[in-house]
Amino acid sequence: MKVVFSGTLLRFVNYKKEVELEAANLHECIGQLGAQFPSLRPVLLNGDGGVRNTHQLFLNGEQVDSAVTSNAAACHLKGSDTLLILTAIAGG
Amino acid sequence: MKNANGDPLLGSTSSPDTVQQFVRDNLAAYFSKVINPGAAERDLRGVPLEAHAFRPVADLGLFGFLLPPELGGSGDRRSFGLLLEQVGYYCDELEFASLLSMYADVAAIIAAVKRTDLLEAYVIPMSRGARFGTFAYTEQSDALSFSCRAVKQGNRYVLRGEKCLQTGGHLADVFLTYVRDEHDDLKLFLLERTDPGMHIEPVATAGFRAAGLTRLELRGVEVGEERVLVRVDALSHAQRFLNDRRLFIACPMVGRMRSILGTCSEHLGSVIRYEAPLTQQQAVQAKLGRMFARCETARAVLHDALQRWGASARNHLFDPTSSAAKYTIVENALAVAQDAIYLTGWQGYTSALPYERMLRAFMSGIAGQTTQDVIELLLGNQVVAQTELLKHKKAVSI
Repeated sequence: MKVVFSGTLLRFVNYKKEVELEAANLHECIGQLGAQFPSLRPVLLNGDGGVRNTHQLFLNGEQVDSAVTSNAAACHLKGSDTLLILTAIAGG
Repeated sequence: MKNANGDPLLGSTSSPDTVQQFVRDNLAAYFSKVINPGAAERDLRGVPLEAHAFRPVADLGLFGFLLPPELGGSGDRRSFGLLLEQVGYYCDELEFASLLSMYADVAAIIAAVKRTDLLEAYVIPMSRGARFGTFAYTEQSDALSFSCRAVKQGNRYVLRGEKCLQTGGHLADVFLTYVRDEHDDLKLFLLERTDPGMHIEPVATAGFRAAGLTRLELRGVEVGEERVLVRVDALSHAQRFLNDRRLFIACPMVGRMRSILGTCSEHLGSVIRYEAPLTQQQAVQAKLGRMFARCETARAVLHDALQRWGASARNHLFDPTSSAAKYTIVENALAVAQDAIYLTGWQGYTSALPYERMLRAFMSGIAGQTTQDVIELLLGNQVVAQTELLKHKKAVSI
């Protein structure tokens, strides 16, 4: 499967716009991203290990509901899937 | 803030005209007689607005306006935005509306935690203008690199670091402060001005000088668990707060722009050049026409964005429409103030026609509630991402 990054997150993935990986579900996918890019982990995940709400996830063009990300292991993935992570962090 | 029948004077169905009448009837004379005459002097000396300046808006219940109905508020951000627009029209000092919205918003944020102890100690006094709170978020870095730290010691936290800018910190009894914990997650702490280790000092600026800007240093501030308002992912909490406030910074500018256009046109009609009022010159008429177009553009985008708020049709973390509205209003406000200075010459620098002071106040919008440059970047990111998604959808449908 393919993971596409944009904006602020790019600096935490060495400015790779796309990453290819194999994952059976969203939980595995996020775990692999954290292992591959250790500095991404605290940015992507909150203190409880869940995906921060500041990130909008789109799976094959459809927005992934926060209820799905909170139960990421139940979100099954296949090799042809594309996950886009859109991050908009504003200043005060 | 209720009529003879006990109904709220302002609410989610209030028209812009109703809100204007409310401000005209209840506050216009106060601004004209009490606030406006001292604005130039406060700007000259860099003196912020004092607490007693807000007494009339407190008595009208405006600090509690954003609270939910069960706490006596309206909870309606659309009508509050319209109200700020009108305050901006009648009040010469943009800082007044900015502080009003900040203090009202902080009370609502604390109320949303839904703890009885917080309601009694903070929310109720804040809704009456007896206490004030501000938002301590900004550091000398991006949000993902914040350096303020909270270290847990037993069941208490010790906080260290620097928050470099708060609006209205001069009056704040409470600072809602975002600090990174041992898991590199942000937590939201409620800190009191009197907590040992809190060091607050004014920040001197060239404009927006009555807003009481401060810098907060946390020198080993020690607080208990009860001061943690958001335990996990306070970064998202801050983004919601900023998203909700972004449009508020622009609301009073729309009213102020209209005021500038009116006073500028009136003044130019009284200036005789070449044996005729300046307003009879086509070049002057054209510039006034351009200012009018900018005022109407700003008003239209503001009312549209507020209407969308009322309909809850928005992204709660980064709403492109209201962010674009803030961006557009600030750019147009800067241009209108600048045009007014071009038209009035040296008189635009005086206390009688303080367009130069207003230009400096409008410049607070370049930085405030997300800089204009960052908004451009985030909006551009959204455009690119949406294009990618569309491309993907087309590929799937083929």
